[in-house]
Amino acid sequence: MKDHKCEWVLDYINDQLTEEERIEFEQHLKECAECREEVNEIEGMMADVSSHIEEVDPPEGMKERVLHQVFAEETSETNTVTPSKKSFAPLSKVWTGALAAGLLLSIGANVLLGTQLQQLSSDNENLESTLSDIQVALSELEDEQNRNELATASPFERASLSPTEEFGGGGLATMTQRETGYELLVQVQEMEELEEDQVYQVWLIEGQNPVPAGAFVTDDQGNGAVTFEMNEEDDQSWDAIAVTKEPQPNNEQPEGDIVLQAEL
Amino acid sequence: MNKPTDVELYERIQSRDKEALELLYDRYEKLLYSFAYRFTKDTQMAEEVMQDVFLKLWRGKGAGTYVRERGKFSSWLLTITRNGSIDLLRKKKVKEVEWHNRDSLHEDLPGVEKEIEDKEERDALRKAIHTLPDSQQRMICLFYFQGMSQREIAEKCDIPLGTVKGRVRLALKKLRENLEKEGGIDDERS
Repeated sequence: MKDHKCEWVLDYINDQLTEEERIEFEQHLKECAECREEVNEIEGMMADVSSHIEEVDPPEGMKERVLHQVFAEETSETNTVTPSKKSFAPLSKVWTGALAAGLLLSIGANVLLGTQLQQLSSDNENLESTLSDIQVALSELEDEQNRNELATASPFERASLSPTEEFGGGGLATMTQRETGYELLVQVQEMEELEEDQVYQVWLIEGQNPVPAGAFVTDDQGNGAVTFEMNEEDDQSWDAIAVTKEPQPNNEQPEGDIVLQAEL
Repeated sequence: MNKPTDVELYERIQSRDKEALELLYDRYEKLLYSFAYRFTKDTQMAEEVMQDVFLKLWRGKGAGTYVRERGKFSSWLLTITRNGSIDLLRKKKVKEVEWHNRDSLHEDLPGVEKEIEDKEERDALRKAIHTLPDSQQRMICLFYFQGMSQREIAEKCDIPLGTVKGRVRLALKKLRENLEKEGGIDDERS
C-alpha cells in the first residue's frame, strides 16, 4: 500500500513541511526505497542544473564574517531567554548573577560569564589571571555588539505588541534615540477594562530580568499610552517588552499576567 | 592522510568541531556563494544566505539536518542554499507571479522570473530553460526558482495535485539534457 507520505517528496525538497512532518518524512525515507530514489534523483538533477551557474568571486573577508557570526551565535543562542507565554520564568539566581555583574549588562544576560564572575569575586586569589581572560572575552563580545549595532543602525526600534491567549488588545512599542538617552513609547488599543487600582505596567526584559518601564491606565475605549525615558547607561540589549496587568501601581516585580508582549 | 569526506565533516560539525565547519566552508564557499548570488543578484543578500546556510549547518537542526537517505551531501547543501535564497527573496518582498490569464513565459513577467529574464539573458541556464516547452518552463520557475509547494504549483497551473511531481521531474530531466548539450558548446568556446 502506498503511504500518503510518498506525496511529500517535493515539499520535503522545498522545505515546505512542518518540523514534525519533516521528521516523519525522514523516518519514512529509511523505509521507502521509492521515495529515497525520487529525492536523490530530483535533488541530484537540481544539483546538475546548478553546476551550470556562472561562478562569481566571493567578496573579500566573507569567510571571517560568516564564521565569526556562526560561532558567536553559539554563545548568544544558549543565553537568549524569551519570556514564557503568560508568566515570567521564575526569577532564579541566573538573573541576580547577571545583575551583580554590572559589566555584563551591556552585552546581554550572558549567563555563563555571569556565573564565572560570581565565582571570581569570591575567589580573589585567582582573580587577576582569569579576569584578564574574561576581559578579553568581554571586549570581543562588546566589539561584536557594536558591529551588530552598526550593521542595523537605526534611530528607532519598533515592535508590535501582540496579545497573549485569551487577552485581547494590541499595540506598538517604539524606541527612539535621543542625545541624552533613549525613550520608549508604548501605545495600546482595545485593551480589557481595568478594575479599580489596577494598572497596565510595561516591562523591559533582559534575559529573565524584567525592569519596570512605565505604567498606564486605559480610557473607556481601551486606549492607552505611556512614554519612558532611559539614560545612556540604560542602553541595554533588551530581549523583549511585555505589558502586564498589575493589581496596584509601582510594582518592582510583576505579579499579574502578561497581556501583551513583543520580542525586540 | 586522506581528505575527510563531506559527511565526515558534517558529523564532526555535529560534535561542535569548528575546524570541520571551516574546512567545509572552504570547500563550498565559491559554489554556494555563486549559487546564492545567481538567485539574489545582490552581493549582500548572497552573503546573508551564506551566513544562514552555515548557521543551519552549525546548529544541525531543522532545515540544517542532513540524513544519508537523502542522497549526496553536496546536492543537499545546494538545496538548503537555494531554499535560503528563496526565503530571503520572499522576505525582501519580491512579489509572486500570478499565472492566471498568462499563457506564455515570454510575456511581460513581474517578480522573480522577470528578474531572471532581465539579468541573465545570456546565461546558459536561462537559454536552456527557454528551449523547453512553456509548461515545463513553468514547472522549473515555480518549483526550482520560486520554491513553491506541490499544492501551490497544482493551484497555479490548474493541474491535479498528483501529477505535479511527475511534471517537475520531467521538466528537470529535460532541462538537464538541454544543459548538457549547451555545456558541450560552452566547453569548446572557453
